[in-house]
Amino acid sequence: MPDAVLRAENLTKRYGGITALEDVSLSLAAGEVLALLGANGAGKSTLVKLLSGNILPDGGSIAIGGEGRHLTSPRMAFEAGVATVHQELSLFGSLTVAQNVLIGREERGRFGHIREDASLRRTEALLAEIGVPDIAADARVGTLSLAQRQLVEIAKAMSFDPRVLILDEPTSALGLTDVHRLLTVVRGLRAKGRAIIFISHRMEEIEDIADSVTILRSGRKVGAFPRHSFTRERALELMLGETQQQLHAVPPPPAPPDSTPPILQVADLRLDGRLNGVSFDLRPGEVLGLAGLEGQGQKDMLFALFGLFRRGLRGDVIIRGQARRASRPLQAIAAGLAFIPDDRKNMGGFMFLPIAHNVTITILNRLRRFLFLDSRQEKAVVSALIRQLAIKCSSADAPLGSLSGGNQQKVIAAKWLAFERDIYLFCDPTRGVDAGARETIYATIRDLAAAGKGIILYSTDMVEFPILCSRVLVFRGGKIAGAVSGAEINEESILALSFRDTGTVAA
Amino acid sequence: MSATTDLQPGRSGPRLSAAVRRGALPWLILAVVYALCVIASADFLTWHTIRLQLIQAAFIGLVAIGETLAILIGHIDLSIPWTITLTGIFATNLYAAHPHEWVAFGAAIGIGVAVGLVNMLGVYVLRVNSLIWTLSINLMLQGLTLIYTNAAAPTTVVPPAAKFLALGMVGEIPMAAVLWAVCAVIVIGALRFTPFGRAVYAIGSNELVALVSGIRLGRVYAAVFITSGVMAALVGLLLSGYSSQAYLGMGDDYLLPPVAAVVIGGSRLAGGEGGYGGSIAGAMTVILLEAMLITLNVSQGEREIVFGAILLALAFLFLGRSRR
Repeated sequence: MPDAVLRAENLTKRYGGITALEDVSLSLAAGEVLALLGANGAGKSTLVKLLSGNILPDGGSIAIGGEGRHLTSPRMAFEAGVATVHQELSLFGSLTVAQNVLIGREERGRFGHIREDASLRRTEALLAEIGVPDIAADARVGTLSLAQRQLVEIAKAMSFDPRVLILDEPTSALGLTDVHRLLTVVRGLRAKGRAIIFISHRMEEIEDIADSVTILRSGRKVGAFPRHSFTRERALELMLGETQQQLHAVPPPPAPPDSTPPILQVADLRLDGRLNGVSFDLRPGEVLGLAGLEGQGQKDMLFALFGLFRRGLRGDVIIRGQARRASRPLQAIAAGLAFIPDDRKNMGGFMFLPIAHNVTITILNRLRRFLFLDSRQEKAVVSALIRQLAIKCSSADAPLGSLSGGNQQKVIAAKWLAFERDIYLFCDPTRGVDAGARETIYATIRDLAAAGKGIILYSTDMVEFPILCSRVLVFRGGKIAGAVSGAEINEESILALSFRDTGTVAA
Repeated sequence: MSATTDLQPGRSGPRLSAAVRRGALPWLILAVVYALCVIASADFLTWHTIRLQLIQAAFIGLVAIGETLAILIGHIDLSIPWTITLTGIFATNLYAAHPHEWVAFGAAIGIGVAVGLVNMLGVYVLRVNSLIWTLSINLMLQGLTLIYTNAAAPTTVVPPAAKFLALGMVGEIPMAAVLWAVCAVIVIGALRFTPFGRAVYAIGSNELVALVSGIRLGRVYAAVFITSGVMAALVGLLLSGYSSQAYLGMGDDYLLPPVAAVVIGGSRLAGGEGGYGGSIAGAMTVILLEAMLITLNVSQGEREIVFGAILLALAFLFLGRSRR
């Protein structure tokens, strides 16, 4: 294709020993919409970051308009003609639409001052050009809806007059009507000859708008189709791959009998736009998985249960038959919950305090004899847990931060083993954790289940669900899109639910 | 088995000695400053002079208890000066009208608790930056004191107990130093061996982690700021005992010297690291520096400049060192 506007060849990116992207090539013609599909960690964001100049490739080349480019900064990407609308919006709520769109490139007057009127007019023209004249250029972005902000981001990207526009999951947070509007805008841009890379998890959008589809899995390009030969079944198959060898090596803990009364009941839990009516039960001894693509509300669910949202939460949380919806962690802990967060550094542990102090922080009152901490008992508790979880450390007095990520995670789990709770919320506990520590964490989850604890496990690693969970809830758009249990738990069934039609869900 | 063998204490040797070195640094600084004092004037070798400095250091050291706690949880208390003055004037006046010791001490404790609660309210509940909040409270306490003294002139009637605590002697040891030592033991013990101490370090290290670990943050904040308020109020009484009168501005020298004492003492300004042991050396260092400059006939203006520079240098050094 000599007329390719964007041509990427053999792009490779490594982080340490991990290859995030390997040998990926794609080319894009003017007036083409290329859809990029892939599960979590498939390499989509790495590819976007490479094309938008946020990171440099370790191998391969990028040519724009036939000219080889070395994109060392986002600025350079803009100048080369590639504009990106990232998934996380980057608008300033207190500034107007025009101030946001033209930020740093405002219309200037003779003395270098900003000419607000001229900036306004230019922004109005841009908004009209992309087909959204109803957004006022002088409105404060903070007053706009999420969909409108998304469109403002597109206007901002278009202000660079790019040849290539990258839209990273522009529809993930939008409802059905807004999605249609956005797709109309994209169609308009295509008609004007822009080349567009469109990332979405919604199959029907891809079928609706894509001219070609490229599928990534584990950093590799595993398929590319023109629109007419694309089918959902084939796409799912390719995204899934053959990664399922070890899956059923260990059977998950058995599901508790149906007659067991639930330890936790969640009914119609809502959190402004992030949770849209979630209901489920958890029984003692059960390991319940929360699956789905990243950012579909699984994490919000755990945060909400643990009282990390002080306001805005509605619905019922019933623990052992009592209403125990928490608006503070203390209340959640008192209700019998423990929380092992994924962000070890900011939420998990005190990196500069000794391991021992990290472990016993939850049981200080229990360790108190009269006024003072019983240091002998503390030592006993800590060394028992260090042994139980095989925490590798020079001494219990070493600072937590001196340990490897996996051992840090074990210490964070240990503090909730020291202070035994009824329900354990694990939030992606094995992220960035080595294989040995993973096994320990899996064993810990199994032991807790065997001891009759209720466990909720959110994970971004789908391999964990079949070996740990007796039931998995798949989240989509802040709702439960479906549940799978027992032998049906596998990557295929989870992915299928993760990518299912929005038609029924978004309404 | 590797986990158990890894638990051998011997391997923590180097880290331990680093901690000891760090703990020793404030005392080393103190020794150097004392040596300079002796060079400046041989008087510093006499017990009489040392005793006088010790009393001054005790006053700083007592308020540095609260300041150490505030800094350990990652905040600061700058409302000490006018808590001192207000308490000194109000409590002695009250005592003049109702000559019972408990009236004076009760009033002092009441003021201290009230100031502490207000500070806790602003810093914990309203989440205002503690530097701004406590400094504003200091200003408001000053206003309150001025309004009060317009209605009632300061008195020279001072409770004998306050006089005894400030000027009394136990053998050759000043009573103020004894009081200081007792309080120091309590604070060091509380920080090292009680759940409260653990909570203080936890909050200073990472407040969010403390929150999700079930620490009752509000109680700890209240305890810290009330301790600071009560220690300041107590020193207000002791100072009026020391000069046999309470007067406007008597607390003016207690704004930054307690902070300097804590920072010289090796506590991290951002919280979570340090302790009161170092603050003891810090308090003595601050007082000796001041005394040395006076001995060298450095004018008050120049002394203030020197102190400001030292404080800035410390903040720079210690903050820079622990930025990680």
